[in-house]
Amino acid sequence: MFRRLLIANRGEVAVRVARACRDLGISPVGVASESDLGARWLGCMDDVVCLGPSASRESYLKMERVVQAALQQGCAALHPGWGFLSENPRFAALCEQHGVMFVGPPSSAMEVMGRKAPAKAAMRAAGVPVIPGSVGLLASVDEAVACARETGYPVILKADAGGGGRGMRKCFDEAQLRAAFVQASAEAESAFGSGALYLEKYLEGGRHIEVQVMADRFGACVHLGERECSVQRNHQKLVEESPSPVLDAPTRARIGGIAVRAAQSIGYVGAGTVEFLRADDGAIYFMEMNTRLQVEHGVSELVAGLDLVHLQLRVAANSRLAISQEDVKLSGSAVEVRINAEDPANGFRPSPGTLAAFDFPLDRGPGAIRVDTHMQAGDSVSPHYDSLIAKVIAHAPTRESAIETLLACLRHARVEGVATTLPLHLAVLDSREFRAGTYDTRSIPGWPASAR
Amino acid sequence: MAKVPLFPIGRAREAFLDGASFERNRTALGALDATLAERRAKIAAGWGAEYAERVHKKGKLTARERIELLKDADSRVFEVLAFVNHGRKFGKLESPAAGVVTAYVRVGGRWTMVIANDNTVASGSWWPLSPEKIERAQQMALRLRLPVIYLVDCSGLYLPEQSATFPARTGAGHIFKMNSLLSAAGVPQIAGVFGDCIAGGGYMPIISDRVYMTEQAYMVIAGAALIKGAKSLHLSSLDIGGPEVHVHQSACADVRVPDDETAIAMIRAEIERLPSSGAAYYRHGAQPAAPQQPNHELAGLFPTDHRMTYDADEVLARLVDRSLFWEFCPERGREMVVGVGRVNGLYMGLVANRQGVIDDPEHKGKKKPCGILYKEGIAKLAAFSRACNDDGIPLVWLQDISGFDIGVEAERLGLLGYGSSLIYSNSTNSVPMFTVLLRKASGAGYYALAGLPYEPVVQLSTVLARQSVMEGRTLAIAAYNTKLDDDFEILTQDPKERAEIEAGMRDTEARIEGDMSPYKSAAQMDTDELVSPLELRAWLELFAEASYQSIGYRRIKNPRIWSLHDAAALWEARG
Amino acid sequence: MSAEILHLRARAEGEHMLLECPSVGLFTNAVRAGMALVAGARAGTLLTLGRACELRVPDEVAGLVDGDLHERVQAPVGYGTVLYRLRPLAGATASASKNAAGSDSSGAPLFRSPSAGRFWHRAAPGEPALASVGGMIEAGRAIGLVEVMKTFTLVHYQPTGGLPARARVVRVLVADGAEVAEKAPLLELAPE
Repeated sequence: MFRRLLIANRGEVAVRVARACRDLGISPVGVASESDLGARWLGCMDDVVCLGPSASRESYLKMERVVQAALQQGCAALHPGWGFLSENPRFAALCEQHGVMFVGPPSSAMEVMGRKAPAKAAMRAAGVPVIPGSVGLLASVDEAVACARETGYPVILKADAGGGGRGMRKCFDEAQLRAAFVQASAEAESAFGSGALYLEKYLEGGRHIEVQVMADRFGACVHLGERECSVQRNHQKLVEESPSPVLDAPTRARIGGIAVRAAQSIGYVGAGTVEFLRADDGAIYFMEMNTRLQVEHGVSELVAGLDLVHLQLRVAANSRLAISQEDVKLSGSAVEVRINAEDPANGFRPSPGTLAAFDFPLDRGPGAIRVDTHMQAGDSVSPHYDSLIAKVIAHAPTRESAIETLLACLRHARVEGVATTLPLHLAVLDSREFRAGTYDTRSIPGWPASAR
Repeated sequence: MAKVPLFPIGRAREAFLDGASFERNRTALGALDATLAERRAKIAAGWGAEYAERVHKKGKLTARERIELLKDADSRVFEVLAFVNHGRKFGKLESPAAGVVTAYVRVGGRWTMVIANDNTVASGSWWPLSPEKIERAQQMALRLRLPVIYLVDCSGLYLPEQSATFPARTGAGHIFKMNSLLSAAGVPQIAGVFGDCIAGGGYMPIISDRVYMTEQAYMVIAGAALIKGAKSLHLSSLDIGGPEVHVHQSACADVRVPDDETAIAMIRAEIERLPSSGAAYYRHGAQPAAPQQPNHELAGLFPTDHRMTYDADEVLARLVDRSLFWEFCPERGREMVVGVGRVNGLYMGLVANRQGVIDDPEHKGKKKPCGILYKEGIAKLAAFSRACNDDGIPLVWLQDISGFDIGVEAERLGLLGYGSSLIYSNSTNSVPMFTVLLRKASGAGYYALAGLPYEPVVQLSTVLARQSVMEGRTLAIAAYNTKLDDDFEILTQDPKERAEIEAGMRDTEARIEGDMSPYKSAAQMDTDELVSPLELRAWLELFAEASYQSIGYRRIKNPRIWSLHDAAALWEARG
Repeated sequence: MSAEILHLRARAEGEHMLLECPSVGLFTNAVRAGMALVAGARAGTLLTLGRACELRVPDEVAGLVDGDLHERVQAPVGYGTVLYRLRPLAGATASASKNAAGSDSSGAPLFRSPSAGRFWHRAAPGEPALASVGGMIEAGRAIGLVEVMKTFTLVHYQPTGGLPARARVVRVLVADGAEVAEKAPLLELAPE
């Protein structure tokens, strides 16, 4: 096992990975931008290397500086966290070239899943169900029209290099499609550097179900159940839970098996998440794969009773996966909310500042509460980076008791000094739709007035 | 550090070149590429559709159709020497591709050299330069130990021109010597015989390890026309030397097949019995990966005017995997950029001339133009060439060079000596070397950077390339020297005389410019193939895969113990 | 074309001036204690993943190196690590040319030539001029060519040293084909 490991990230995920390192006797080394340098949470690291000024582009995203930092600190391995360079195949290749073990999948797997068209093609080849649509990229508007005719309207035009909901156009008929094609291509070209488009059947609503997988270098792979992340705002997740209220056990097993097959077919190694769309008619389609550990991984950890970061580190050290699918026992229900320092009353504008109070009571019951955070009272929320300040996860034997536990905790939480999304979470968790489990990806825009 | 410290190079195009200039370059190159495509198509058509029809009527395929059938479905054919005899007339006739197609073809995942007589051009006979072309292709295969596949359909010498093809040291007979040398070096050779193979054509397949004959094929030392009594006995060449005779009686051939398609299928199966490529082993765990900076941007990076500069580092960034590169000795000899990158996961050494100006290492505050070799650059090249040879790293020489530095200082510093050291190394290297003439390739510079006289495995010229002993303008200056001042400006102020001298210099320049056309070079076999800069990456991938395919004949050191590391340790900054 | 140059960051600490590293790597070729460092001087080398960058003293800084801060010949440093501690040069004042950006006496922003040579307005004879009076230019736009020893290099507008990101060309200060020195003003601009 490595002696020292560089954590190429900041904030909550850096703290999370550092904790896992300590558990395994690995010395964690952190990196920081100039503005993060004095942060209290960096105390969990054995050493810290300053990379550059506050702007991520000049610090956390400087590949050569990050790898150099790992080398001069004697780190045999590097954990990229999520975001930043975690899904950058060139960065993974650079680490490898310089003898630093990248905790994550091979660059080739990142590349296949990094763009929609090759990902879909690979999944099709592996027999994984994909949303009907174009095979590969659309060479011309006529090709798009022919494809749409075959697929059936309504269709959605998507940018191959896009993401996060950008670069998409819904089309309800041929005339709209013809007009949209040219515009969407030009938009994509200027926003993402590539005007390449593909086309899919447009499926309104549906539930966003993602499956956590873990694979080793020897081809073994298991799944740790699904997470339901349909409560979203602008395609950003707000609430996640496991298991999904709409899946029964046979479907869970089936979708888990599909996720494992998807990961194995591309030679995946490490922790990953395969995202599916469950349409209103129950059909399941592959959407995309996140080739990294995710923000909401804790939800699966509680339900499966496993530490994903420990598993990542062991797999990176070329150990075989010690658990088989039979060993994975999912129990109870977990619900997570992401507390962001944003002001829901002001268009969710980021709200940096100092936390006068920051307390989440752990003992309000009935179930257990886990809080993943790097902050405590007295810390300041940086204006330079993403606004996530804590994840609060409740775990209990039933979904109802998990929701109750989380509500109890959040109602008695004290967060003062910055505006947060806490009120929104309370309203969502307490709402009829959420308790009934009948929400879907359309919910937030159409959410009952009490939530806003 | 015994690591190969590749570093991210290159920037987004907008960061170093504005859109208008990029478009201007791209448009100009587009016109040259269009000409190239047109001329290639014309060559590929052989003597025309009518002749292809005749071939089809006999139930046979043309040479190029045979190659299409032979190759792996998802692969590209890399033809070499396609432009030999381009523009040359023999009486009223032309010999497109000198009547024979020579190409790198991937068969069963292994690169092979295919030599296929063009049966639409004078029944596949040999024109002046056909033997030299075939021998050059055989030489390429011998250097890399690539299997050779002969698709023989060759009626011997094109007799009206026999004096140019029969007797010389490089005449047709030398083809059989090359056959022998290939066999002696353990290189597999397989022949498919598809038609009339007379005299030289008859000898072509025999030394090959396996010979397949179709029902229509015959091999004869002399055709029925020259055999006494053949007419009265109604004996055709097929009777005399067809598969009946050579497969069953003489054992000069091995397998009899009904048609072209079957022959091709069996040749494929034969190749698949050979050891698979070593490339996967020598990747040392790396995966093939495209350059990070888009390769297609090469279309707009090169100004067609040779005096206009571009950033050579940006060219390299668009050729190597993930745009990761280890520049060797960057502080010295800055007129050259030299180093190691991966191509399809395989390590290659690359050399390129920088363009623009650099600081003069001998005089503070002064500048010197690039595209020229000075003492440090030459020394750097020699050291790098020796190290790559020692380490078994195949070398790619990307030339855009006017020549060596000249003048009092150049001679005093001994550039003649440094240059000769470099030439010596390149001449005695055993590691595979490949040369690409990007734009200018003049004088001693062309020699120093492993031009064709130094026998690289392949030399490519882009459509922008111009080879000559010196630039047109330089020659004009030399010719009119007495009429020019210290700065090479015209001395006389008389307008009439000035106009005359200007016209004279222009003519001199124009004449040599004509000589420099890459099509002329290719026609004469002064370069191996003409390509667009957009094809360079594909060719480099071929060079890499082909260099690492065969195992056991050349040194390939593991990167831990490269000589390059010793050199780097000595010039690395410390203290 | 020369190797990459990084300027150190300067921070005053009482009477001393601290020069800090602007990146991550192994710091080597350090200037020894007692030597003087002035604006623009070479101040060592930084090695990142095997590639060397030249370190330089920033503008408006001068002083004597006060002690050797790093014992190792190749010292691992990060962004902000102090590389030199300078004490004031005896009796000298840090003289700086505030005119680094190069406005003229009237204050109008001027874009200066990156090198000496002959300045040409167009990419080739017969083509339109690259920068025209009244036209707008932005970062990266080609505004002319500089010919040095018969090679022609495009000059791209770079808004460094306080120049505006977008500007209108008020005057072209150099005739087509005229000789220019390094840093000679080429274009008079007006910010947009």
